[in-house]
Amino acid sequence: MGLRRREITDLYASRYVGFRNALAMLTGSYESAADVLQEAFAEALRQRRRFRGEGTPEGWIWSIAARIALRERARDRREAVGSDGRVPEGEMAPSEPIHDPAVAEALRTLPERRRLITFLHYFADLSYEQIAEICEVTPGTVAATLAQARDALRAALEANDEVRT
Amino acid sequence: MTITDESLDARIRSAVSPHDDSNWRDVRRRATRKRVPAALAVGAVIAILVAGPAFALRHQIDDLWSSAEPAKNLYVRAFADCGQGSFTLEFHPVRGAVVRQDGDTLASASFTDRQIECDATVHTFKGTPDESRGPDWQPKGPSYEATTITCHTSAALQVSVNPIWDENGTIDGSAMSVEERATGKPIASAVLKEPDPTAYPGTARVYWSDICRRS
Repeated sequence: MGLRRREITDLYASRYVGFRNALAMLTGSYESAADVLQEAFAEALRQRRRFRGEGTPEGWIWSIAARIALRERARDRREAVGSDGRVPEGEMAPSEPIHDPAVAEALRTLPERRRLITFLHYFADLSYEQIAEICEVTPGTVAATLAQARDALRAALEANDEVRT
Repeated sequence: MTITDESLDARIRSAVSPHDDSNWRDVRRRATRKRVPAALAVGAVIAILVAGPAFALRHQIDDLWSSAEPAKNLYVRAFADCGQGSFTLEFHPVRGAVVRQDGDTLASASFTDRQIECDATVHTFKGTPDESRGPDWQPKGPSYEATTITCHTSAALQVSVNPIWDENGTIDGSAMSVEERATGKPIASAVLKEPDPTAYPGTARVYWSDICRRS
């Protein structure tokens, strides 16, 4: 099966900003997300003949990027282990890449899986089917999860707005 | 105050940066840094292969993009089903190339003007350059210059006209190919590159298969 180089460059051109923004939620900054994404596309170029066509090219490249992001995060956390041997708190820390503090706070309240699906939908602009493939759930589950996330985000933002007024 | 679905979606989407700092050249560098010497290139974009078997010609055209940046939203390829049977390819290394059939112009290409003329839909694709040969590709074999070639075929034809990109992602030439419609196999191709005798000696060339003859 494999992927052609042109397909990868097309994906790069069309998906870069969305993937970087979604990855920034995993890595904590746009800079580190961009670095991860560059590595992911470079690996996709090298490994393109191994793409077996079992999913979408978007899902395949995202899975490479997510794996690199998690590897980098694990390395950072190992390096950040204190003298007491404890790993710092905080899995996904989306505060820095989000311009709107209320949105950042609202996203932080979501459970991790729901948050990832939200990122992939809003920031990576992936379809329900593509998100389902990445998260290994059904498209119906993606739709239901997004509905729950939307309700939670709406409630959090409305509460925040009321406090501010 | 109730937040509508639309305003919620818009607020979340606008909370991240729309800034596009993509850099395809960096991706390519990372992909090849362990295997390929860094400096390669520009010559590879234009230099072409052998006027050998027809199947090879497709690769020659693809290779024209080998060192280009992905060009977002730029027209990179157009083709149309144009005619059937024998045709001539008139070629001038500077002025450009014209495909004719029975006195009609099917397609023309030059450095500044690329067009296809025929009674058929012209399909255009916006996309990014192909790099199927990679930056370590080296030209080999002779290339040819011709004024007119005539290709005798009964095949239904497809004509494609494509820009050529330099390493900065700018268009500085054209490639035109007449192909068998059924298979996409090129019969004759003309490659026009902005003349620069210092950097790109003899870069305007025409390639053809063994069913074509130079007149």
